[in-house]
Amino acid sequence: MRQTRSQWIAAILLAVLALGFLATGIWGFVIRGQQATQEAMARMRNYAVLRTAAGAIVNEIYIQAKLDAREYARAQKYSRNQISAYMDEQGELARKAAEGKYYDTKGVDRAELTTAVESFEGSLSGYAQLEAQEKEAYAEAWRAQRAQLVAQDAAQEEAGAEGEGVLEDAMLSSGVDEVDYSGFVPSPQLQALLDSLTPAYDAMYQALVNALPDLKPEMKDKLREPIINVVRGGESSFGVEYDRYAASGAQDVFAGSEKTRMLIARQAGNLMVLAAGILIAALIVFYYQPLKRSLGTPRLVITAFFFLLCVLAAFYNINVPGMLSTVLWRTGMYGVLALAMLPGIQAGISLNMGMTVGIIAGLISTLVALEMNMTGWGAFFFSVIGGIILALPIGLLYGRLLNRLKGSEMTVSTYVGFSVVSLFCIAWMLLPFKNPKLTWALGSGLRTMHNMNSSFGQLLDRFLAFDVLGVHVPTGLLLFFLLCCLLMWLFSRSRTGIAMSAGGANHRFAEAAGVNVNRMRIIGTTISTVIAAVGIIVYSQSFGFMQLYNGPKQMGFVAASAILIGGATVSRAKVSHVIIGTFLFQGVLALGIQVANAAIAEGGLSEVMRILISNGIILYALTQSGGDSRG
Amino acid sequence: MSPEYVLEMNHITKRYGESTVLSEATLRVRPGEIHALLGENGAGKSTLMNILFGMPVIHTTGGFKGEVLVDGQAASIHSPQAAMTLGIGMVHQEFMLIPGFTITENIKLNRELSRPNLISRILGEELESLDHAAMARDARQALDSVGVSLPENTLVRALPVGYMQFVEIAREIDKTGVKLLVFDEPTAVLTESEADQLIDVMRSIAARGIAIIFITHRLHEVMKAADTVTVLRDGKYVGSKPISQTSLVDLAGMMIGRGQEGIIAVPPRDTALSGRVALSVRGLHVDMPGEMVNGLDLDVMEGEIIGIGGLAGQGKVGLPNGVMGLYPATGGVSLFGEALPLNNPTAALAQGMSMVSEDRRGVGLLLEESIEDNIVFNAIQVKKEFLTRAGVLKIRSARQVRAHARRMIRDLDIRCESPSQLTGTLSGGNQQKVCIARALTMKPRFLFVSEPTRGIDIGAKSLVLDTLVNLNREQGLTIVMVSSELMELRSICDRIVIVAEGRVVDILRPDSPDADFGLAMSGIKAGEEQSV
Repeated sequence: MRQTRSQWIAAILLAVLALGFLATGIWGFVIRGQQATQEAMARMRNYAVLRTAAGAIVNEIYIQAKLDAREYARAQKYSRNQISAYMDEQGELARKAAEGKYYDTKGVDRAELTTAVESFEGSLSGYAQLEAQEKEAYAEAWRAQRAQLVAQDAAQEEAGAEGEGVLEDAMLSSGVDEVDYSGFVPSPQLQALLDSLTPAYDAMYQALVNALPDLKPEMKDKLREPIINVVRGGESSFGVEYDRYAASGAQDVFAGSEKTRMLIARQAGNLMVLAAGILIAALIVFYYQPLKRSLGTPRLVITAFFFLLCVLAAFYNINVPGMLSTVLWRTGMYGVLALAMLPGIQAGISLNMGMTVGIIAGLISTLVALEMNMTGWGAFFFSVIGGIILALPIGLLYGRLLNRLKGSEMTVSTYVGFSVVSLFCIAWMLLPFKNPKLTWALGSGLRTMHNMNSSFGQLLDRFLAFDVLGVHVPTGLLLFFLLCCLLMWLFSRSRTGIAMSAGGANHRFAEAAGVNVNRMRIIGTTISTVIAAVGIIVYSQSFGFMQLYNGPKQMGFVAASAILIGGATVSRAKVSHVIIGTFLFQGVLALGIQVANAAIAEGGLSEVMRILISNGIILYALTQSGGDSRG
Repeated sequence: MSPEYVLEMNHITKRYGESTVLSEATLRVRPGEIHALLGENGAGKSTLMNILFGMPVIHTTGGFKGEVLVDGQAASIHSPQAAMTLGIGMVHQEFMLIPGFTITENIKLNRELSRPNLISRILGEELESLDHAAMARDARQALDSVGVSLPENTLVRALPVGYMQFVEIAREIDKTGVKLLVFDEPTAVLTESEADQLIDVMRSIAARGIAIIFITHRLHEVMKAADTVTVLRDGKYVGSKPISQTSLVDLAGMMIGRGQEGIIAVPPRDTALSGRVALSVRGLHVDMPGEMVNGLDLDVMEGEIIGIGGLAGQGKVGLPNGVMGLYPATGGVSLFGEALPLNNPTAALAQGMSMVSEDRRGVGLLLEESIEDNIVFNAIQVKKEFLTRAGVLKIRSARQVRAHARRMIRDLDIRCESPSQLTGTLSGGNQQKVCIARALTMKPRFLFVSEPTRGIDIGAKSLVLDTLVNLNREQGLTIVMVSSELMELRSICDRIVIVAEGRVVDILRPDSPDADFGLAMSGIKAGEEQSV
């Protein structure tokens, strides 16, 4: 495939740009190691400390100016509004003057200050390490508790259409929310370390006073914590350190080209990531035709979007290992549900949006297990086998229905899915479950959300789980998903599986060989229903919550879009499409939400983003069906 | 001075890509004459009419050479509207009627009569009121002249099929300025009496000065109804004669042509045929839309290559499809003495019959699967071969499938990149070989091949025929070959059965006189033409 001239030009330009960024990034790393940079960082640190102290002074002046202004304004008998306006005005003037006076960099290079700060930093390291550990533990506990709180909130909400989404968003964004450390209490050990810092701190404070004569002794205690936060001994990467000082405005100590130099050093990592991203873009532009042919436009677009999100995630310093862990977890969680679409497509009933009937079967059998207070592996296997047994006759009936409606399967199955959900909204209220953990507190009927952690929540996830490079791998979950894929793959190579696939592809061909195509369609539908039942059990135990009522409604769409993004069409699909598609879909969704949360500071956006991204992908995948369906 | 011919088509040549469909064809029709256009399938009749009607398919594929003259004036007909404006009308074989509308509405479609009303005077002609009374009057007149007494407000969907034909004719003659009407195989769906009625109607229309071109392959109708006949064969003009100067036998001979040499050299048999009956068919009825079989009796001898010929739509293709269970069938069939259940593809395949379908892409192949998967499909399903154990399951054995596919590719010379290439990307000839490979993988004792060389280029044609002959000579495989190409059949078959109207008309030897073939295709057994 020959590239057009504009492709060559664009690709070359992008490649050059990428190389430029790469070179700059490498240089940035080089700069980091240089002596001059170390000295510059030391100056920055000094200035950060000075700025912190000076900031306290400026603040005092600001407050005092406002108070004085108020006195004056009252004396002049201004109106209320006028008073407050005058206060603000005077305050700002005073602040600016003070900043101009105290925020200058003259005192930075005083040797005395440098030595004092250095020695203080040295003594801080032990403290900083322990504090970091304790704060990490605190953060974890805080997040877990928050998730619980959110879940409780959601559970108490009406089982409305938003019910199932709220919990999702909470789970997704709880990794991103800023931890609120206000409740943090240092351990006695930590407190002791803190106390031992006093002499070093006093010495440094003396040096500060020498640099800033207007620093009052009363400020000493108030300034202790902010200065500790700024100086912070112990290991720190260049970027983290730079950011810490920059938070106090310390980058102003540099001027002109030195400022640029330090900035490049700081952004070195990001520049290289950007270079990688642009290089990938260049490759996509250059190899557009063959990529489009083999991947299909939707997969190409989604993959490109995925890389874009990766680049942005690096920019926003989103925790990559954490992110990968999330993606792996979600892939395993949704994987089996996406697999349920496969036999339907192969048998010729296109997208089985009515897999909800299978989901309900799985939910019922899990409820029975919960009703009987079963726990652990026993509960899991009971639920799975029970779900399969329930799903079989349901699938058979549903298959016979679809056989009468050839040509309209996708429309009918969507409505069957919705109808069953509504039917069971009634049924969940009426079914004779008695276990108080399952039912509403003041009445009968099942609750909306059921906490799985008391029975077999996270059972598969924890099985043989391990961490590598900070990425948490839920081995059991992924193994189970791959096991189901393997079983499906084996079936598709059996005599019946081959016949089913042929019947879906060309029913006249299959009939000429004696295949009973109607029977094959029923088999495909039944298998799809059974897999859906197993899938919801895997999903629920992994997610930690089982969602009744309107919970299952959107599952069909999520599964459908996953398999379509993987390269399947409504008439042809393979197991590899399921695996790739689920990974891509969940990857884009998880990354997208986190990047969006980081990029846009507005709160409450995560639900909007989740709906936008996931439904957007679904729509896009459904409208396209190009690409090499041979995978 | 009116010209001698209302229509002249001179030296018409039409090529679709590489193949020449019409070559120097000539047609001259006098005003008020019934002119029959006779030829086998593929003779070029439809193409000639498409050119006359300015159908888009002609002009989007490179136009044609030659000239068309209407009333002596050169005419450039580039659309059906242009043809209609020149006074040329067509009664199609597939009815162009709207079932939910009445006869009147169909007759007057797009030429409705209307009266101005208050709104139309302001806003324009399109808003005029329909003049139902006037339209009903015209429709009545048209219907009367074709001899249909049904009320003109009858819904078309309530009419018997034969009457729909008459409504079409009525629509055409209702148009003003009609000079020439073309009837495309009008009697194909009519009963005997309806056909007679039609011929009477044609005569009365011709008597009014409207010329009629009457396309058909039925020789006795030509003799009965036409004034002049033009014969086309393989796109070439054979000749034109007044009916008075020709006969059934003569026309049959013109249609089929001189007995030419066979396409391939066929080696003789080493041993004589055993004389046992391989397939016995009694009273076979097959409901295959377009190829109905209406009571067919036939005995196929073991080890022979027997051809089934006949015109399209006459039922020859229905025979294999019915016996193999692809379409509903009734009757008595037995294979090598054992009764064969009908409507049961598995039984037919299991008892040793295989078929290569005429619908290569529709029934014969899974276009999105590999060559090897296509080849072994039937064997996996019916005979459970090519499977291997994987634990408790039996799954497709990639090794066995690949080995067998390679063998087949070599033996049949299938041109492909690899056994995993998708069949949809192969050429027609190679696709056909894959279908044959699949049939042979079943190791059949009886093989149906239906239209084996349709849509295949010359080179591949002889390869396919060679393969069939070798199978017969080397393995003694009994082959039934259904084909529209008489030349092929006369090349390699021991006997040739001609099927018309869903029944066997005659069984001929390859060297029987051409006229016998022509008569048989028309439904007349040689020697019985006098009684027609």
